[in-house]
Amino acid sequence: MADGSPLAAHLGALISKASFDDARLTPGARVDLLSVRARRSAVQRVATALGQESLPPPNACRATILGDCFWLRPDEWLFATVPGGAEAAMKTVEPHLLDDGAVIDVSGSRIILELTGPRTRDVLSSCCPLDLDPSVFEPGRCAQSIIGKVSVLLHLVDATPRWHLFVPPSYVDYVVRWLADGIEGARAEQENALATTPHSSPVRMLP
Amino acid sequence: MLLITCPWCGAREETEFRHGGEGVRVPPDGDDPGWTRLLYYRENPAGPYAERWVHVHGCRQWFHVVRDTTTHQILSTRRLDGQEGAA
Ligand SMILES: [Zn+2]
Repeated sequence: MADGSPLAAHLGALISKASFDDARLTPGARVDLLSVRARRSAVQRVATALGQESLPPPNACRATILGDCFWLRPDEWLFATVPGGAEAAMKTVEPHLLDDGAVIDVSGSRIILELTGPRTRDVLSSCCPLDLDPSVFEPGRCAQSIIGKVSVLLHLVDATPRWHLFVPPSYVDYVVRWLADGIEGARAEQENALATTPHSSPVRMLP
Repeated sequence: MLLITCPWCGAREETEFRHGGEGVRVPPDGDDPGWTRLLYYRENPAGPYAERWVHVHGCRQWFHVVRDTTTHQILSTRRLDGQEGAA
């Protein structure tokens, strides 16, 4: 943690050893997190205050002036705002809730891991039951699911594909090990494919 | 593996859910046999069964499910308030 990375040193070594060009795992940006509970008319009031037509519908993420906003359940949204920005963000949201909601600083409840590269769908599919096919899981979607046995919020940021995984800090070790395993598998598969392709490097073709 | 359609999140695998037992249970007017029935007896039909499930690793919402106990087919799911699901 000393170098400012949210990952313990042994995990940093583990993920850099496992990562390759087509599936790379890195610590994501640090963020402050806000849980906004809102019901009835408060939902629209908060949306309007943030200059949005509405708050994101189920399993969607939208960029707002307070950072990315994620739908978590029918009356809860999660805001990932800049580090140190929680207090100001709370002051922006709170006046619009009146008696129909609450805003809580939940910074530190989750750490973001970033997973990028063309093979990341295979990596995630090795440990997460979601249907991640591009036809159903497009950029801007988010979903709460499990990696291994741990609840994780997944966000598909762009079509690289680039994923942000919001993981409870005490389970980061566990989740990183699952992902490193998946990355290792994808890399081995690719190396095997290269070794058996007729047009691969001539060095590999020698008996 | 069951594929369960959460009224909010859509089709998800059963590992994201937890089973909550028999669905609609109406408290009796007050007599003891009625309460005994409510607390200790279940319908246990061979066929469609009204249950409650919770999307514990997803949106954390409880909802109604009708499951065929002989085929494990999920016949329908709906929100507790009866409204159409968002998914
Ligand atoms: Zn759900």
